[in-house]
Amino acid sequence: MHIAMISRALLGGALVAAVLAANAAAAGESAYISQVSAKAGAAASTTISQPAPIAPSGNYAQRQAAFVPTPETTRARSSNFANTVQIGNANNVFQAQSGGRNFSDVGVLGGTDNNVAVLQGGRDFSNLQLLNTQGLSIAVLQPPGSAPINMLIARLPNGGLLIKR
Amino acid sequence: MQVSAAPAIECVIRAEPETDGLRIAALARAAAPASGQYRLQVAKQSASGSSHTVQSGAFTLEAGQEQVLTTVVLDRSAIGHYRAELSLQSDQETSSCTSP
Repeated sequence: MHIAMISRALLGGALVAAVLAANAAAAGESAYISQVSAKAGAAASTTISQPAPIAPSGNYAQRQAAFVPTPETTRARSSNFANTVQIGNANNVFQAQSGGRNFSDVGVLGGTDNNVAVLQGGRDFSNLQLLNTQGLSIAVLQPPGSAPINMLIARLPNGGLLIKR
Repeated sequence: MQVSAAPAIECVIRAEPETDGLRIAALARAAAPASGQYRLQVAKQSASGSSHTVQSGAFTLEAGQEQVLTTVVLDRSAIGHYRAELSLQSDQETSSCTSP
């Protein structure tokens, strides 16, 4: 699983190449942050196959507005599911899912001019929420069987950027 | 919702407004057992922004069975501002349909 904050210019034609690269193999480090080992990635398929809530454990679970899949959203386990909620202005969301058993939820709430791309190769879970962000470009690249990602990115009143997983 | 004319594998896009959004489901029906690949593209352009979703994968249908292949949910601003295209490809034929 790789997460990258990249410039808006990179989110154009590079996405197609990126998903191909993500499906083929975990790409090199360079601009991306490797977050899980291959062993942790293997656990992803187990998690996504269960309709149980997937949310950060520990203290985060009580404070974070995590998306919890309902039985309805997980009923078609062999297929893909993509949810996009945009409440703001001029935000762009691109989601590409290949294979099966992908689940992606993208929420852009209150923000403007954000670009989000989620590329999943199969048996992947992603929940990404942006709150009040402006001009942010985020790409989530998940090769087949990646560990689930559950992330909240919010622009705080003091101007800071909160990134919580 | 538009249904293709091909009788062997039927292609259906079901768009249903819900309380929280617009649910777009890609379905397939077959008169005889069939398998192949599907591809669903959904594009939406509204005041809140644009969204483009591409989903693909394999399907296997039994005779007379209707199966939901994949699902896309968009916020309610997508109602009246989206376009979906589903294509099914099996060994025997290719079928496609669009919505709206």
